[in-house]
Amino acid sequence: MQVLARGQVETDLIKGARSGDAEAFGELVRRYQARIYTLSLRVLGEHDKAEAVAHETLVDVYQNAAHLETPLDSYLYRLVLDRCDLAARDSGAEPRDLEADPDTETDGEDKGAQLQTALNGLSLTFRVAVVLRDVIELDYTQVAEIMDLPIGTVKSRVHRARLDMSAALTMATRMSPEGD
Amino acid sequence: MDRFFAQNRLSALIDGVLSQAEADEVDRAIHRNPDLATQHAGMLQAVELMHEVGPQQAPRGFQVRLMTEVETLPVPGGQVARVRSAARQIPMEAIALAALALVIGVVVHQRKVPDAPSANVTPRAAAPAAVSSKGVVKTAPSVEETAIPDVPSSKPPPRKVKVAPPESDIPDRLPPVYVDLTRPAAYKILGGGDQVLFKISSLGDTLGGRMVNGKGQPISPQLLSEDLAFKMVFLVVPVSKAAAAHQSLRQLSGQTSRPIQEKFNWLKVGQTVFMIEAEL
Repeated sequence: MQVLARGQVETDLIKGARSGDAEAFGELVRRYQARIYTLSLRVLGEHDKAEAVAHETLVDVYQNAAHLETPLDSYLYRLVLDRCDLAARDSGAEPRDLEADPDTETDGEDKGAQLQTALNGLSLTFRVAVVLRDVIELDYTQVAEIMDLPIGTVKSRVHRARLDMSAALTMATRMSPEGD
Repeated sequence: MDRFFAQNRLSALIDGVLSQAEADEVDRAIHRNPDLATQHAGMLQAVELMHEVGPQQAPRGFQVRLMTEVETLPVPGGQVARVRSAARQIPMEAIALAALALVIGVVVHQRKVPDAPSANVTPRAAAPAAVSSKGVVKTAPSVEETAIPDVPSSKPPPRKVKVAPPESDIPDRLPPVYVDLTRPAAYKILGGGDQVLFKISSLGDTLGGRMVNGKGQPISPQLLSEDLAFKMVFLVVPVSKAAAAHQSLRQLSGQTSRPIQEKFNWLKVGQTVFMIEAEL
């Protein structure tokens, strides 16, 4: 019942945003900003770029709010990934190891950096698949829909990405002082 | 089950999507093969790390910066948006020619019509700080042409300014609030909670001002609840009280407080607006 109510609220917010209601749009932003930012951060590996991509995506969404698609999350993630792709091509460089963001510094910062280092070792296509599946925690069907790929291909990419990350994490543990 | 098949099912085992029989077989293969066990443990560690780190909070002030920009954009699907969209289709040369024709038209018109001075109107330039026309948001509908007698006139030619009718005349409507969202004076409340908002609200009461949202609608701190944990808040006070408000608003940096650094904006209606970033 609560899920239905929440779904209804979101439907109303989407309607509001489509008709240009900035407050409805603001509420949608509040709901999705963390996941949108996280997706771009984990794909691009840099705080500044991730924030820029998240910001530009949401401005773009507002300007084209009349064409908002549902399910909204899949639609937003697709737009974010398109911009990440452009940003990655523009920079032409592999993502750097993540430095601590002074604004969001937390106890889990080390783990975040460790995760990012492992993700950075993956090619973009594998990274996107595993981030959508394991960081954003979407099911395979939704990941396949967002990436416009057969579900089998997505499963295979996630499997491969997890294996490669596992190797990278093991390597990092062996090379760290504690791992000696 | 041989090693190859078991290895290809490690992900499925971690996702918990294998049938019980198949999961048991993969488990047995893992116990038989140390390499497979290492791979399984490594994958499990990677997946757990991703779940543990999970989604990150957006950077502080992300929503304020975004909504500040959004407020300056034309309403999607609105007339302005459609006009802008149509304008993009017009070649630049045509726009340049039209602009040139307009300038010539205005110059010719000004030469024909002598200046008509008005004794009791106030020049806009007399205001202490200008609010740029770009990005200015007018949020209440009703305005009327009138003069502001208490602001001294200066050299620029006098022209009428739009001000709001007295609130007592239109109790159900607010005077228009002009907010220059491109240059907001920001006062951040990121950890102070609603107590800070109550203080600001009472400061507004003391100075004859009020707290409003981006549309000029009055708000009170009670409106900020868990369901609506974020709001853009503006403190609007009369120009004469601007300095006092500016002095009273202080920014916390660690354990010490200091006056806010940013200048406040001036409104066309003789009021001043302070933008407050509130995230409870």
